[in-house]
Amino acid sequence: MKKWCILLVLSAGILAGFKTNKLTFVVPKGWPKPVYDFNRNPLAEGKIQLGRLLFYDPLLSKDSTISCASCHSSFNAFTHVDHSLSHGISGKIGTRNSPALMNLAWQKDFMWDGSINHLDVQALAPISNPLEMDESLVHVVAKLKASAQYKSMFYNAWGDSNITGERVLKSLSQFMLTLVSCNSRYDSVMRGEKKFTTEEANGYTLYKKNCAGCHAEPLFTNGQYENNGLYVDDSLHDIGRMKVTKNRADSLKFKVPTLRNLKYSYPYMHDGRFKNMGQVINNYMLGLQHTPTLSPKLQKGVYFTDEEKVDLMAFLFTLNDKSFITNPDLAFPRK
Amino acid sequence: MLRIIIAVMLLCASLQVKAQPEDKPNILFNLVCPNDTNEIRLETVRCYISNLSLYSKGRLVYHDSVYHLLNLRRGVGIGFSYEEISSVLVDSAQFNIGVDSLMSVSGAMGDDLDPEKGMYWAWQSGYINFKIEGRCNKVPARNHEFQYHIGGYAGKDNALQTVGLHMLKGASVLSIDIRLDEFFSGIDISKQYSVMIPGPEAVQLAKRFAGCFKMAR
Ligand code: HEC
Ligand code: HEC
Repeated sequence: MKKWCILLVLSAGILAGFKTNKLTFVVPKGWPKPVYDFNRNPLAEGKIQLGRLLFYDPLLSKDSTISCASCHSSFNAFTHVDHSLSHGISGKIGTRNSPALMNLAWQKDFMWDGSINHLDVQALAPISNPLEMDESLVHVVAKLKASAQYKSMFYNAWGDSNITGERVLKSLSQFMLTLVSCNSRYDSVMRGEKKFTTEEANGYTLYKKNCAGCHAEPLFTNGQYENNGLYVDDSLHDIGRMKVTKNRADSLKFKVPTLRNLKYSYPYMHDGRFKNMGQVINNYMLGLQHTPTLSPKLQKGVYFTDEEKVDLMAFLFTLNDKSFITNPDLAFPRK
Repeated sequence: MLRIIIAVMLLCASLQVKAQPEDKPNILFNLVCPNDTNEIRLETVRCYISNLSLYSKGRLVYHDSVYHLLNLRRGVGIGFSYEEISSVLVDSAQFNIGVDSLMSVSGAMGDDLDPEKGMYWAWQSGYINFKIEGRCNKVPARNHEFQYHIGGYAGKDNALQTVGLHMLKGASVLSIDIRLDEFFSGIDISKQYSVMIPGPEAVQLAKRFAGCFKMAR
């Protein structure tokens, strides 16, 4: 056991030098405890910056044309610019709409059907999907090893220039964990800094009555899988959560997305079928499909007068967080 | 200089764990391949071994909690030697084949569990507990290729297997055969040649594979 002990002592010494860099993840007031276990991957400035560089780097795709940001652009609350289905390598079209990325530290599982169980391993899916980046992690690691810039970034972030798959994934996680949106008008009202207008306040009441069961505060999702009554697109035949659980009761259920930053994240739903919020609300009112797995919360239907619709929209608008999409720390890293 | 020392020590450390047969391992895994008449040409046999406990006369003498990825080849044994028990006669071993559910939901891991090792599913989370790939003329698929990527950690799809092996008299090297000849003799490869997702079929093959671990005769 001797050799091991010496090794441990030495590496502890190396780590100590980087302790000063350790950051604490700030949980906004009144928000729940994050799901992400920061003890397993403690935040550090160098790792976040490395993750950011990776997120914006097309080197992660086979022909170096597509980066994570190609489908998750900061100006669109980290979803795709105005595409219903995501576009990947060589213009290949995927089967789902890329979700807006935010507040991922509070998310338990990922993808519209929850097929990914941890943020760290999320990036493996797009990297190896032939319709997205069509690469493999081992090859990405080899490409990074050939880059002097990455060698020094890994050295700064991790204490040595050893580049591994684990470090690539954990660095990407660190950057994605910093995508926190908590500065909308709604948030300042909740902090007591501002007041809702009459319309917004009325919209808030309507939201609480009709939408909050699934799009729950403060994240505006309950993190569950629900069937919100969309008709099935015959060309895609997406059964949602059932693909993962193989349970019929989960047929047509999809992860409840957040309602934050809707202004920037259109089009909406797992296949991007709705271009604007008017279509979304009309569908909740008039288009509900009463399939066997339709959520009990929507069985009775939803109804709004024209004025109520305007008020609900006014409230939903208070969830847009301009400081999030214009935050220079989250944007393309200029070297 | 410091880096060289670390590198050398890392090397020593890894040698300590993964020993070649001549280094007198405490436990040794050997692949027993199907004989050629079956026309099965193996290309990849990889599996995780974890949670290894070694016993002597009913007493636990060593526990290794490291996850080891074995890259098995015909004619090359893979052994682990543990300095502390180099002179102990071991008579029983217990270990898991695969990666348990806790590790499967805890994010990115390093060393042998690093997803870059190609033993992690990308489209759905979880480790592949073992992979067997190759060719056989009876396989009606492209290039006659067969592949078994067996894993799954959730609920009844959990494919993790625990193996316990015992021999009457203790030995300084516990030699374990992985009888792939028996694995293949029990399946109809012309029908079951591609299992790549968790589910009942994967669990069944995981049990079959676990049954192929036997004390060497
Ligand atoms: C070709 C477009 C494309 C690329 C490139 C891409 N993604 Fe995605 N991303 C998607 C789509 C589409 C989904 C949803 C897929 C699904 O539900 O099946 C998604 C889902 C996600 C999610 C889950 C979000 C949630 O709320 O569940 C995360 C996190 C994510 N991507 C991060 C990344 C990272 C990191 C990269 C770069 C390594 C990346 N993406 C590259 C299209 C893309
Ligand atoms: C039964 C649960 C449930 C209720 C109640 C509910 N939703 Fe949803 N909502 C969902 C689910 C699930 C999705 C994703 C569906 C999909 O893409 O297949 C969704 C998607 C959305 C989207 C698209 C978001 C995006 O990023 O694509 C908007 C906008 C939305 N809902 C608004 C509302 C509003 C407004 C209300 C109240 C009138 C409401 N929802 C009530 C479950 C619900």
